[in-house]
Amino acid sequence: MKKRLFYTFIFLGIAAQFYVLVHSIVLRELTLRRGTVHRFQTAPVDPFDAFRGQYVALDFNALSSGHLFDTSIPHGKWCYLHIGTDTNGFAVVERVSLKPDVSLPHLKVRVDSSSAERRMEEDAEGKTKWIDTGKYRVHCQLPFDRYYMPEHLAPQAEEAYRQANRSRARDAAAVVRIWKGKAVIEDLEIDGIPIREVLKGTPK
Amino acid sequence: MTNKKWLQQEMEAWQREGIIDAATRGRLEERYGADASAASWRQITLCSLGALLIGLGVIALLAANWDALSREVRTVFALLPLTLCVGAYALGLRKGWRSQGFLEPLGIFWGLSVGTGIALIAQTYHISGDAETFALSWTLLLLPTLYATRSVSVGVGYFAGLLAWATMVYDNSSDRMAYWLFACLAIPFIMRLRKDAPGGVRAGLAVWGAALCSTVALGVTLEKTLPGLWMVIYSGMFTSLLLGGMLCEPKHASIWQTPMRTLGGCGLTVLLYLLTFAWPWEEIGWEHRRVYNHSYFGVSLFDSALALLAPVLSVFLMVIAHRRKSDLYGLKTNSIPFHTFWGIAPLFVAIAYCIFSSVESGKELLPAYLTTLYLGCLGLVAIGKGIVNREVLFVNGGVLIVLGLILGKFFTSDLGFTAKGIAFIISGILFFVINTLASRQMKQAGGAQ
Repeated sequence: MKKRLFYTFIFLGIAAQFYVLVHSIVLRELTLRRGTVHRFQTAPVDPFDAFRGQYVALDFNALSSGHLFDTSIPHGKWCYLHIGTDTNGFAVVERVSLKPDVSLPHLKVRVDSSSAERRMEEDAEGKTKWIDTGKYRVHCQLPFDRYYMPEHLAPQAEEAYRQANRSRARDAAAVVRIWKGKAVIEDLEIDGIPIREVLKGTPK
Repeated sequence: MTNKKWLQQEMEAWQREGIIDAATRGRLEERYGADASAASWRQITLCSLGALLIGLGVIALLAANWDALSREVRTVFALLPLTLCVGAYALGLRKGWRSQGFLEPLGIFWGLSVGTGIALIAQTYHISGDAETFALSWTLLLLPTLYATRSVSVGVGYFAGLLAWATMVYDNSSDRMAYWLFACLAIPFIMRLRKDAPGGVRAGLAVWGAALCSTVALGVTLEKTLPGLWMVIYSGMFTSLLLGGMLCEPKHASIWQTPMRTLGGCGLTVLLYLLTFAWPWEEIGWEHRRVYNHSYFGVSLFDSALALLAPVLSVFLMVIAHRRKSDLYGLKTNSIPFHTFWGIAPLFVAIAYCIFSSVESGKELLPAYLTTLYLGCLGLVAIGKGIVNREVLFVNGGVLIVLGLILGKFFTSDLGFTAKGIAFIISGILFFVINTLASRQMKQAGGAQ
C-alpha cells in the first residue's frame, strides 16, 4: 500500500514535470498557429540594459503612458488589454478591462501600478492647480519583453535595434501573435524587414 | 562473497526478523564499515561526475547548433533529456536496478534536464520571465526526481535552489518566507536517508546541505524589524541543532557524519564569540525598531515567533537529553551534564537581550563581558569533558575556544605588539601543555576514544 502510494506520487510528479514543459509548448504553438498578427512599435531602451545575455530587451510605445480606466486596479491583479491598429499599422491598446471581450484581440496582463489621472487647471484668481479627473492611469507589463538571438548575432542586432530606435528614421517593431489572451513574439522587424535579414546586409 | 556483503545480508535478515532495530543496524554497519552505500561510494562519485559532464556536454552541443535547428526540432530536444531520464528510471524499476551507483547519476542528469527543458522552451518561444520564477520552477520540479532517485546531489541542489530563490526575492518578504514551506517538502527525503543508514555518508551530506542552506536562509528570511532579535533566534537554532545532533546522530562518528552536532556546536561558538564584542549589543530592542511605510506585521510576527520557539525547542531538547543522559554519557552521574552548559545558551542570550535592550545605551560592554565569561566557561567544560571521557576532539575544541577568547581580546585591545607577542607565545605553550597532559592522562587511562 505504502509502495503504491509512493509510486503514485512519483508518477504524478513526473507528470507535473512534463505538464509544465508541454503545456508551455502547446500554448505557444497554438498562439503561433491560430493567433492574429500585430506589430508593436518598439521604444528606445537604455543602451546599457538593452542586452542581457543573448536577447534583445524590448520596450514598447503602445505602453509608455499607461491606459485610462474608471477605477484603480491593485498591483499584481490581472486585466485585459484590447488591441487595435493605428493608421501606420502598429498595434495600439484601445482599452483596458477586467473581463475580456472575446470578439477583439486581447492580452491578459498583470497590473504594475495605477495612479489617479490629474490635469492642471486655472482657478478664478488665475492660480494653477492640479485636479483629479476621476480616471486612473493603469500601467501594465506586456508578456513579451525579450527577443532571443544567437550569441554571434546578438551584438549586431543590438546595434541595429538601437540605431533604429534612436534615429526614428526607421521603424522597429516586434511581430506578435495574439490568441485568447496569450502572445508570442514571432519576429523582430526593422522597416518591415526581419532582423536576421537586416543583419545579413550588415557588414561584420 | 565478501565478508562485508555477507554481513550486510545477515543484518538485513536480522532487521527483518526483528532481532535488531534500524539504529542497532546502523551502529553495526558503522563499526564494521559494512554500509552498502559506502561500499559503492567511489562508483557513485565517478558515475555522478560522468553524468554531470555528459549533461553539460549535451547542453553545450545543443547551444552551439541551436540557431540551425527548426522550432519543432528545438521543442523535441527540449523534452528529449527528460524523456530519456524517465525512460531510464522506468527501465531501472523493471530490471531492479536500485543501486545508488545507477540512481545518483540518473538524478543529476534528470535534475539538469528539467532545468534545461525550461530554459530551452523559454528561449525558443521568447518567453519573458525573471530569474526568480525560473529558479523556483526548476527547484520545485526537482522534488519528484529527488524522491524517485534519492539522489543526495539533487537533495543538496534542491536546498541550494530554494536558497538562491529566497535571495532573489529578498525585497518581497511574504514570498521569501515560503522557503520554509518548500524546505519542509524535502524533510521526508532526509528522514528516509537517515532511516536507511543513520550514520551513513549520504545522510550526512544531505543534512549538511540542508542545514547549511537553512542557516543562511534564516538570515535571508528574517524581517529584522526588531534589531538584535537575530541573536536569540540564531542561538536557539544552533543549540537545537547541537542537542538534536547529540540525540539523533551516532555517538562516535566523524564530523562529516554528524552535521547537526558539528554545525550546531561550531555555529553556537562563533555566534557567542561575536557576542563577546560590544557592537552586536548596540542599539537593540523595541526603542530602535525599524518602522516601514508599508505593513510588515505578518512577517515580523515570524521573527517574534522564532525568537520564542527556538529557545523553547532547545529547552525541550535539553530536557530530553537530560532524561537520556545515561545513554548519552554511558554512566550514571550526578554532575551537571555537558549538554546543559551549552543548552542554556539561548536562555542566556534571551535574558541578556531582554535586560540590555531596555537599559539606556552605553552599557553594551556589560553583556559582552558576561558572554565572554560564559563562553570561557563553555571552553573549560569542553576541556574537562574531553579529559574525563578521553576525547581529544573536545580537549582541542575547548582549548581553541579559550585561546580564541584570549587572543581575540588581545587583538582588539590597545596593547602594544610586545605584549601581544608574549600573549601569543604563552597561549601557544599552554595549548601544547594541556594537550600533552591530556594525552598522557588518556594513555594512562587506556587511550583516547
